[in-house]
Amino acid sequence: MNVSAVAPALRARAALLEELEAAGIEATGDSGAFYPQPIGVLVGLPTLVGRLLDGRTFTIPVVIVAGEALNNERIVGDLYTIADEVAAALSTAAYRPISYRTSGNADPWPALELVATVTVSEEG
Amino acid sequence: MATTDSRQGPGTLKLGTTAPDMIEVAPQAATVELTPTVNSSDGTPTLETPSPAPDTTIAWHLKISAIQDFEDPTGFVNFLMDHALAELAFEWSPKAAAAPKYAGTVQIVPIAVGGDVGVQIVTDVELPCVGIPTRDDSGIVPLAAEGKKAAK
Repeated sequence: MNVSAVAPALRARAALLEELEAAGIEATGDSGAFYPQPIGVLVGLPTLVGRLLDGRTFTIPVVIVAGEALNNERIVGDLYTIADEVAAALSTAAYRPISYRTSGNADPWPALELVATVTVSEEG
Repeated sequence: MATTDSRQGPGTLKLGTTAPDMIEVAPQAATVELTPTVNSSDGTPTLETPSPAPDTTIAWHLKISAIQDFEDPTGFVNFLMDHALAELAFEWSPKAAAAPKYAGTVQIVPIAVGGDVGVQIVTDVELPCVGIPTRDDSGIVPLAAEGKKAAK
């Protein structure tokens, strides 16, 4: 199968990464190279939630991960500060604590997850 | 006979004909429907016609569910507010690459502004049609199954 045009899901993800970059937030969509030091922002895979007459709406998880245990007020405060910045940049109302698991680390990392909604046109 | 499963999109929906009194709604529209409202009452039996046909009138509405874009001065929400009660032409192609196309005139009414905080807001609006909308089937390509039947 030949796919020449950029898939709408990829454009939605790229648009979200651009929005974060424009807000001065460093984020990546590359989970393989992701290593939070001390806090990192990872953009996940889009879920198609709606179709418009000429576009698609996706929800995309964004995870703010702390690369160390939340055993002091400083790292907890930093994690929530960045989560607030990401939420403001993406006009998203809610986030929740989760554990972020990766094969590169034995123990799960503490993290906050929010879900952003992105709409892109059918043709890029 | 094979089932025909018609689905919308990618398509177009234009309100108005020339800018700035024209807008392409497709990027915001999650639902587009041309809906008939049928009003019917029993006819009056007469000596000559004891079982008359019902008195029926049909009115059409263009129903749109749209993602709100109130931040955009020339967006859909503000277009409806600015053109309230104007009568504008509309043209709707449920599938831009194929027919049919529907056209007519609608009376513009405003859409609700705002809603839940912090989430994408999808709001419905119902634009009454002036007169009966028209349907243009000229671009319809016969379905493959129908073509085979005709060839037999």
